[in-house]
Parts: sequence; structure tokens; C-alpha cells
Amino acid sequence: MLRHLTSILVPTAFRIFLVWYLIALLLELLFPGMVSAVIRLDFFLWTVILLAVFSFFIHRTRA
Amino acid sequence: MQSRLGILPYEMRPHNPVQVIPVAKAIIFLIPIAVFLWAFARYFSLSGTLTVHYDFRGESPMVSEFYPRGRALDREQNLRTAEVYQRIVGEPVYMDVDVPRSFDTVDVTMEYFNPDQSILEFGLVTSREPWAVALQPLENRVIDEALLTWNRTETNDGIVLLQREPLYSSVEEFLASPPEHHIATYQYVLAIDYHDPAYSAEDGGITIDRQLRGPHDFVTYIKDETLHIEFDIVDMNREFNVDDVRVAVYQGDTPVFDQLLPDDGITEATSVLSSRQTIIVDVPNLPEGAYRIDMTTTNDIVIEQIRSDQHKLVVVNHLYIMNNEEYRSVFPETATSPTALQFSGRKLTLQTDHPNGLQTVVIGEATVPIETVHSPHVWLSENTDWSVVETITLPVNDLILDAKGFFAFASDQFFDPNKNTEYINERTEIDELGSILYRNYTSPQTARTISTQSRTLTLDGVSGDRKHLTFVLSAPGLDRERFLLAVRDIQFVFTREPLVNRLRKRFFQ
Repeated sequence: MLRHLTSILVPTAFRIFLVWYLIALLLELLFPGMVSAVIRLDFFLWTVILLAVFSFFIHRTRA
Repeated sequence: MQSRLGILPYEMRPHNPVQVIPVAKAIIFLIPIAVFLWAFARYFSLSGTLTVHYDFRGESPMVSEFYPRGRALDREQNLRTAEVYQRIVGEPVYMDVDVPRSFDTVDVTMEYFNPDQSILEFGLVTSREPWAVALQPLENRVIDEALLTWNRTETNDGIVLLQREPLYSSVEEFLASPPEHHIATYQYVLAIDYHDPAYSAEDGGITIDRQLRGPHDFVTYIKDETLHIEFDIVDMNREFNVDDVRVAVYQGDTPVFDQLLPDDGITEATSVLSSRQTIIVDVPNLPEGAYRIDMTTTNDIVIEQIRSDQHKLVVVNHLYIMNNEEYRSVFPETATSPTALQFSGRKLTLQTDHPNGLQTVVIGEATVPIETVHSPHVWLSENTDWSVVETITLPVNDLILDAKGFFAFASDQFFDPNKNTEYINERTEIDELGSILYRNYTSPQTARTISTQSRTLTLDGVSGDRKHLTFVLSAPGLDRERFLLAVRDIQFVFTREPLVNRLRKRFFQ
């Protein structure tokens, strides 16, 4: 069951976080300090990268 | 529903992932939304506060490091403790903070390492043209040292008296008959009842034919005569503002005269010179003594001439003399001859904002070259005698002079209403003092070697939109003495009225 949940949620989280990361970059560009004062954008980027890597492997396992 | 084997289908089993997945997806979706809503509310200060913190560990989009380079070194890390800090080796240094909205006040908390420097002040640049700074105390070692052993008395409005020997039981008693010994003040203007037994009124007054820009405070002395002084003023209309002029006369803290001259009606920056107007201060039947005349206005207002029946008149702390080719287009008749001043004070800051104002100023035997615009040049007295009056010569004028002292335009006009008192500076020796009067100061908290101090600064007087703020850290004499100062953490808590209250006021009141 956990494997099933992971196979669905990780790609979903990747897509959502990727969109929000791009939004965060845009907001930071328009309003310097708005996002970076609350969360570290480099950690956010690493989260997106890790989710992308996991999603890739999940996709390959399914295939 | 049950299969022939008695096993529930996958979808119908307990903890059905089909039910868990939408919940998990919703959580994943809501987490970033919540974080971004929080960031939005924080950034746009819906609650009325914005906290900006800088620990020097990297670059911040809202806070700069201290600058300029040369006075502030690059950020460094202590490899043993992993602390990151920035060393300050000259003064003043500046720090820019960009905020998305304008705020009313800011609480600043700074953590710093200061083994030697006796006076530290922190504040804001309130105006760039002309240059103006409002400073508040961070640390004053003279007061800190006196607090350890001296007698302490405080009034209800926060004026503190420290006495080496407890001769007075209250501040009021002290002010009523101040002692003969040296008194130091800090963040407080001591209004001792000054009396000059040798003074007598004379016929024929004085005329000061120098152009003074912006607000100025004066002190004059009268005895059996009418207080009479006239200011010829014009409005340059160089800035977008309302240029009201308020003239108030005080004896001590008691007002005896108040007059408001409204703006000429031009609030745009048209550079159209208004017609000359005269403010007449005429107050008969005043008792003998020193009277302070405060002219509160903007930097668009120029005093073209001062005429007074009194023959003692000094300018307090701040003097901005124009009389330079820079203003020839506005004042074709301006006299650009050198200005001679009499000055009492142990420290003087000189600054010009125009290349035409670069010059070499002569102060007593010393010379102070003014070689750069927009930067303060500091002169420090080598004299330990407080009563020495220096002669200053300004070859081409156009200088802003700031000091804790008095200026006069002629030696016979000079008098020192604060005789025997000194504003605490980096050269003040506690051994010379008998008592200290101060307010608006509490000692920093020190844990091991790190001091922490908090100050509240008001942003009301800051020109512009108050979104790009420049803070100042002043450590007088730091570079001269080669002292070390390091700042490791600074936090700004900006405050304004919450959005809800502002909306309520706008739409329901």
C-alpha cells in the first residue's frame, strides 16, 4: 500500500512543488525578500530536484 | 461485493488508499498555499509588523551589509565558534533596508562585540539633500561607568541625574541651582538659568547678512529690554513640500512667543523664489535671562537677513550657511565673501553637498580640508579647556556645520549659555565630571563579550516614501583610535497600523 501511495503522491508532489517553485521565483523577482524571508529558496529547489529524481525512478519501475 | 474467496476487493479494504490519496494530495497542495499566504501576509504587513533579520551569513534581499568598503570590512567567520560577523574600522557606516511598505516605527536590536569604543550610536538618515541624520544611543561607557558607583536620581519624565557626590536630592533641585563643577549631558539640552552680571543693554542692534538654509535655533540674552528680532525669509520651492515656518521663543522650557508663517502656496518643486517676508519677534517685559528662539521649517526656507536689538546672539548646534556661487542662479545678489564664526565646542562636523563648496576651512590653528561632497568631515578640539572659543573661517561657505556647541557671527555677539556643561563625546573623561544629566539611554546587556542593545526609531521625520531606509552606525573616534567593533546580528521590527484598523478607519469612521 505504501508503495502504491508513494507511486501516486511523489509525482503529484513534484508537479505541485515545481509550479510553486516557479511562482516563488517570480514573486521573489517582483517583491525581493517576500519568499526568501520565510523559506530558503535553495532548500526548496533541492526538494523539487529530489522529488523529480524519485518520480523518474517510480516511472521507470512502473514501466 | 465479497469475492468467492471471501476477500474484499482492493478498493474496499480498510485504510483504502483511494480515500487516503485525495487527502494526501490535498495536504501536499495546501502546504505551499499556506506558506505563500503566510509570506504574503508577512511581506505586506497585514498585521502591522514586519520583521527583517540579518545574521551576516549571506546576502539578504532586504538588508545590505554595512558600507562603505574601507570603513566596513568583508564578512568574516570565526572558525572556532562558527559565528559570522562584519568588522567596522571607520565611521560612520551605513546599512540599507528595503521594505515593501512605509512604516511608522522600527525596533532595532543589534548584537555586537565592542571591547574599547566608548560611544556607539545608531540611527537613520532622515534626509539626503541636505544631509540629515537622527541618532540614538547604543552604548555610552561614561554613563555605564558612572552608573556603577554614582548616586542616581530620576524624574517622572525620564531625566536621570548621576552625581559623584550626592549633593542634590532631586533633578529639579539640581536644575534650580546647578553646581559649579563640570556637568556632562547626553541626549538632553541643559537649560540652566544663565545670568551675566556684566551684561547691560546697548543701543543699536546687530545685523547678520548671511543666508542660512533650513531650520535653525538661536539663543539671545536680554536684560531690561524688549526681545526684538526680525528674520527676512524666502522660500526656494526646490522640494515637494509645504514650507510652513514656525518661530517659537522659550525661556528654559516655557514658551513665551509662538508664530506660524504659512507656506507661500507653492508646494511643487518649481524652484520659483517666493517674495521676501519678515517674521518679527517682539516680546516686551521679559525678565533677564537667556532665551531660545527655535525656527522650525523645511530646507526650502532661507533666512536672508537677521536683525536684532539684542547684541548677544548665538546659533545652537546646527548652522547651514549658503552664500556660495552654487546659489547664484537663485540669488543673483548673494555675497560669496568668506564667513568668520566664533565657535565653542569640542567636536565639529562639516559637510558640503556641492562641488562649489569644496574648500579648506580654518579652525583656530588647524585646517580642515573639505575634499569630498556628501561626506562629513570631523574636527576635534585638542584643547582640554572647555571655555576656549575658536575662530572658524569658511572661505567659500556652502557648509553644513553640526556640533554640540554654539556659533556666533562676531566675537562680541558670542556667549555660552551652557557654561560649565559638556555634551558627552568620545573624549569625555569621567574623572573631569561631577555630575551627568541624561535621558533616553539604558545600558546594553552584555553576555560574555557580546553586547545586545535595542532601540526604537521613529520613521515620521524620514523624507521620501520611507521604503528605502538607510541606517547609520556611528562610533566616533573608532578609526583614529584603531579600535575594533564587530556586528554579528541585527533585527528590525517595523510597525505600522494593522490593515484591518486602517480599513475600518477609512470606511467606517
